[in-house]
Amino acid sequence: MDTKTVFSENIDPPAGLGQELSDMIDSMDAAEKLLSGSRRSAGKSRKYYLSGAAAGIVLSAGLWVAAEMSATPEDTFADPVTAYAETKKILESISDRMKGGLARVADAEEAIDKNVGIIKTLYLP
Amino acid sequence: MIAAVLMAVQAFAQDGKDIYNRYSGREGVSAVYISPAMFSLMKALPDVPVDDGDVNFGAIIKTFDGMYILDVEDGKLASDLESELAAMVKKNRYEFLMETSDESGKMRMYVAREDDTVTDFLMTAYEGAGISVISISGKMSLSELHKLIRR
Repeated sequence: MDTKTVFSENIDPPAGLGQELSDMIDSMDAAEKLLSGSRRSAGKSRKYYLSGAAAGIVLSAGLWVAAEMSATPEDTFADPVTAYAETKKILESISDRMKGGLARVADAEEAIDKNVGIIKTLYLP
Repeated sequence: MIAAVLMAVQAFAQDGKDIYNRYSGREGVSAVYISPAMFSLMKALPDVPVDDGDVNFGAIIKTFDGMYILDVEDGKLASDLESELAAMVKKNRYEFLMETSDESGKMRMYVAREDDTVTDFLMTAYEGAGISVISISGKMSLSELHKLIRR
């Protein structure tokens, strides 16, 4: 059936259609920018949250370690008599070590004095 | 940030008690600790008579208010402890007192004092790969320390 439709290049668009289309494109553009901006700020918020959580964990761990290290240790001995006896033994051991060191100093001094005496005998009138 | 926190904790740890806490209880470490409270109880013990010429350890012990001993056999741990002690000595202004060296090892002694009162005594003994540390705090007079040396 012949519809007698004529297609012509010279059909004018309705008045204002161009402007409407332009406005629609602008608003879609703006909406897209808004959506991508909010996605970016959501990503940033997540990063800040994770960084804060990690810093909190590290700080807590550091405080826990510091608390553990500054805790008062437990006494090794249960009664003062035993503790006194052990302390006395330790002091005797320290004293013996000190004496050992000074004895070597005394030996060295004696050796030096002896050698100086020999030198004086040989070289001094 | 983790490194900064660990460094701050490490700096805080360079105190005798902290060092003791870090090393006692670890494998290859023997530890002895006598608290200020225990030394207070010792002060109440009766004095033991001593012969002339003998050192009156009781009088010296009653000037103490804390002591710890660490004996570390593991070479790596001993090396770490030595580094921490060196830092502690520098920080707390210990004075070097004496060093002896023989076939069995080396021994160093340090004191920290206020005028003629020794407030801290530190002895480190190196034998093989291990290290032993004795740390005493208190208010010992220099003359009492002298008696310990000369007994």
